Amino acid sequence: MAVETLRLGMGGLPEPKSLMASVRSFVYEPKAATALVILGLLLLMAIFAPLLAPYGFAEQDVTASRVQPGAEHLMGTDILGRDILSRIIYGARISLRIGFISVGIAAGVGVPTGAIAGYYGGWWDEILMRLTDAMIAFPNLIFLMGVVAVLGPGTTNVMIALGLNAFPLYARLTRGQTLSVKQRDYVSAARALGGTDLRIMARHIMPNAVQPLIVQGSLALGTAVLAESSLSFLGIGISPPTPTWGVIISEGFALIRTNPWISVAPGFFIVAFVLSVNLLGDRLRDVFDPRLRGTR
Amino acid sequence: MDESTFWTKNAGRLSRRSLLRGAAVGAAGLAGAALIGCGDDDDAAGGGAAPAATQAAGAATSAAATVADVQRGGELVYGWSYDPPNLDPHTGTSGGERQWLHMPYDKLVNTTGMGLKTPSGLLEPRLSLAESWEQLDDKTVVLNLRPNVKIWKTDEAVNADLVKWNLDKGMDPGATTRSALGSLDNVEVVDDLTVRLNQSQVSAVLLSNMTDRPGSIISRKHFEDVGALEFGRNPLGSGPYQIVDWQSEASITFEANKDHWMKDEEGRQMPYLDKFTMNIIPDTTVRVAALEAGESDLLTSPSVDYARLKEDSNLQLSEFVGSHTYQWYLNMFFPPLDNEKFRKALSLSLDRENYIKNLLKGHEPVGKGLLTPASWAWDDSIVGDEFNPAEARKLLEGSGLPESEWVLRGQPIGASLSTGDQFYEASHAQAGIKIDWAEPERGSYATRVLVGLGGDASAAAFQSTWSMRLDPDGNVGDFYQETASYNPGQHPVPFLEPLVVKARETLDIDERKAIYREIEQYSIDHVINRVTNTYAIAARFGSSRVGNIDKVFGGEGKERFYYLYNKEGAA
Repeated sequence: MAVETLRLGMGGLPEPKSLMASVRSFVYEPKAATALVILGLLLLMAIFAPLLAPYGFAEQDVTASRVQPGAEHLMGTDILGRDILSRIIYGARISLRIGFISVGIAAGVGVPTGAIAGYYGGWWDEILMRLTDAMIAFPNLIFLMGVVAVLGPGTTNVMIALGLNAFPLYARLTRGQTLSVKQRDYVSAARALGGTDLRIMARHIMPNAVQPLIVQGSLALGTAVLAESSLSFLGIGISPPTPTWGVIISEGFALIRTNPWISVAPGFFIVAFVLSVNLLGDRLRDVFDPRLRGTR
Repeated sequence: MDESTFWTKNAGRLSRRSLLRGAAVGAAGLAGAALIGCGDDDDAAGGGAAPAATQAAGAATSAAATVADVQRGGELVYGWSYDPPNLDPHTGTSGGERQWLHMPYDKLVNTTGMGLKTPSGLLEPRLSLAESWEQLDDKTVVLNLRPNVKIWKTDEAVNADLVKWNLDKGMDPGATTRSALGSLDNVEVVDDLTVRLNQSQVSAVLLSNMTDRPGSIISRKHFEDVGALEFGRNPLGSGPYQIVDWQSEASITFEANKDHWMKDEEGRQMPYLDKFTMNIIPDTTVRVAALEAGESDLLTSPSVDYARLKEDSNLQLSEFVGSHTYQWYLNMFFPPLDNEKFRKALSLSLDRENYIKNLLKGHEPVGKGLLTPASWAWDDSIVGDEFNPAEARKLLEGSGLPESEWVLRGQPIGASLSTGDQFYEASHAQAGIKIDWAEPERGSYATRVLVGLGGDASAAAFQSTWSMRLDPDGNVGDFYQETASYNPGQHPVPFLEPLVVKARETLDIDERKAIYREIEQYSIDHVINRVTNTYAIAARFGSSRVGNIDKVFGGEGKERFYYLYNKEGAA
């Protein structure tokens, strides 16, 4: 009965695919497959950084300051003679960690907020959504700078700032999904069977609202890494010598005219990461959203 | 300039009388006025090693534009790095203010436009508010003031009364100029244009100190009208340029004082420009771009772009060798800095050559003590510490300290760990010394390290700069006296302090130089209060419009803008 209602509600859209079919559909799309490979390589690079990096990320060779990319240093060295490739490899650990954890914080705050607002409605909805509206209206960079200024720089605080900055999007999205799903018959049935609000939200609403959140999360990963890079570039994010990609770009900026490889190389990795997570996000949306299925 | 030639020609050639009459080799005992960071914002980051186009002070003076070439009128724009915090000469503390004090204020005594190392060449009556001075005896100096000088656009006369008020204000217990005027007992008004400076002790440095903060004459009426707090950002004097617009953190516009008394060598009135604008551009790359795009005419040299800019035929370059030092400031009370072997190991494990090669312009002199090659008391025979991490490690092993205590509690003074900080860390690590960095914070050199400036001694050391003073006393005096502001821990300096006082009270130039040599060598041997890394070269690049760029540096390495002109004139 519930399935039937759902089908009618979707206006005669294609039948949902099986999980395996979705996975196949996902990876057989060339752009998504390419993105998946890039992302996988970056993740492997981060995980196995100590094995892959030819030098230590803070290891200085004062006789090799600002060496151009070549056989000994594939991506050159910076002003202190540190190997850029090694710093990028180690930097992937921190940059990606910041991306994933800040998205986790954003989801961790935003999803319950949106679920409560959507499920209970009324004053809960008014208060929580006006709060998120205010957050959304606030310029992102100003907000991030303000939070970091209050909490201080550092990896943890940057992750908190990025998470807080992104949570309104999750809250909005979750609220919309909750409003839609809570009207379904199976939710009414669960309520009639005496399910608690918490159980209904956790067992019946969230599982049916999670797909757009996954898409949002994948897109937000790239945004978070970019934002961290911006903060570090501005000197208010992660402090040297911790080698996030943003820090490496920042350290090389003063030398951009004479030794551009110092900033260009980590910039390339940021582009590759953001591009791949965006492509994956797009593809996830295509796979999860029945209205877009079969349109490409 | 051939250093040895200079010294063989000048050392010991000046009589006490000539010294007293014309030079009073002085020092900027500028103790309190002295400053960290010291205002020269030449960035640390390497460049080429080509010889300078135009070098001042410790080096040669290149041919200047002839006076006949001078154009009048027009404007020049300077791309500068930060807002000077306080232009009240008696309370300001930043070295980055010192060059700007030459704009609104006349100095009782001034130096020549170019830095000359000869003691007799340091003080220049033609550029001074006191058009002459005489030493009545060892403790009494009379200043004869220039007539008809008024505070800009007012009727307030710059006379003996105003000078006395200024010097009294400078001797106030809360004034940063107090120690520089330490020998002064009282100021006596003899007549409208004559003041007598009565000293309680003999001082060879008083007149030289008048070239800096203590000799800056401000408007009393304006000070009383706007109040002490406001005056620092709203200054007024009788100087060659006055501030007509100050946009905080953005720009300062100076208008030329058309009625100013200052004349050039040919008797032509200065300043030549109508207007001088300082654009505050914190980012080095943007500052360089502004110069190259023609949006500014003058630039503090970033080391990273030094070699490239030097090759640009559209730009001019003026340099001052020894404008400041790069160095560690050490609180010797803070363990393990109380251990001399540890301090020596710290000095021996600093890779000065590679610091210069990688982070600076590439041809800076390796540092030894506090006095730079621009000082008349510079002595090349002083032996400095050379990089020797193996020897440093041996010292550490014989220091009695367990390896776990070979740790220096360092304080980054910027908002984050600088490239220089990271270089120091890696360099000392070669001997086994670790740097335990405290939380980075702007201004932390004062709040956490320098006890004399209110520091809580929660960190042991920081690395920064120390700018050149006209007299050696200004450089060593504020380090090697127990209560001196820049003696980081205000640690007793039993051997050096009497020497500092003796040098200050010695009028014979050769004797003074010998004393400073002893001070320098002892402080290096025993690593007292600092470890000097290198001597800096201040460099200023100018567009083709800038005239007299070779005269931009004064005797202590700070800029004098009143010599500059726009080659295109008012056009």
